[in-house]
Amino acid sequence: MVDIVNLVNDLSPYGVIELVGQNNEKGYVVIMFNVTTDLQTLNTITTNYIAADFPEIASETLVDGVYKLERTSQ
Amino acid sequence: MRLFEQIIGMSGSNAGSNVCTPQGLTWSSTTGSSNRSYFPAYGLYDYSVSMFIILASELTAGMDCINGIEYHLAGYSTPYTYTDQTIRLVHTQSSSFGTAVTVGLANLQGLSDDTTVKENFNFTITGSGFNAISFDTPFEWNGVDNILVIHENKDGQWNSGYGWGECLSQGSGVNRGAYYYQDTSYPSDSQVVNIDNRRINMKLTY
Repeated sequence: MVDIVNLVNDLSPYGVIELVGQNNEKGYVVIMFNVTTDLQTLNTITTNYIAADFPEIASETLVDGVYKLERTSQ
Repeated sequence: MRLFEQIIGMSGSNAGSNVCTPQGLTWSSTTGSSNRSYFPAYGLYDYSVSMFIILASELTAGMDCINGIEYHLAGYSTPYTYTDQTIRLVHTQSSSFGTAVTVGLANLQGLSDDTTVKENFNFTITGSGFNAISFDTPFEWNGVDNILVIHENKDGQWNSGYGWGECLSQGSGVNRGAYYYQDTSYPSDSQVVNIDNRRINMKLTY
């Protein structure tokens, strides 16, 4: 079970959170705008909270200040 | 004289129409249960492209007039609609995607008969299982070459609630799937695609 409260708290200093949550039965999504940090920082945070339930990274990008992550459970 | 006029008339008619006649049959690919969110379109990003190679040896003799495709999808919050979709079918002599294949099809071998079978349409997914798309222009398979399926997603918006394509996972290096996704604009022809040893389960009607 993803600790969404603390995940959002840890991400909040680094940009505007558009979406954090389960997208479907197998996928968990994070979308942020106006990101002020690097991909590795966000990866470390999201991995800490999400990877146990959704171990596989389907996509993870940081382009023009927009961070998008999808992790899946298979 | 009458016979001569009849022959001339038939010839003119055939020259003006290049439409084959489908048989009302369906071909099914070998299926698997591996999941890929970016096949055939990726709802997390504004734009995406996916490509699949179907070997001639997988197809059935006589499939010379392909007029539809069905994708095996799951996990969508339905109905879910991708706008501005285009599908192209192309003959190719490549049997898998190598490195440096681009959106513009560089580094694929023996390409011919690049056919836009359906253009700028809305693809609405109505449930898990095979979702069908009927072509506006049929693809005439030559019975010899492999078929490259290209699915262009120019929706221009991301939307949550997207699902995944159910895929056949093949051996390492047997890359019969390829994809690329990004926001803001559709990928340029020079963009190198990512290659994948998964290919979405599909059916072709002919």
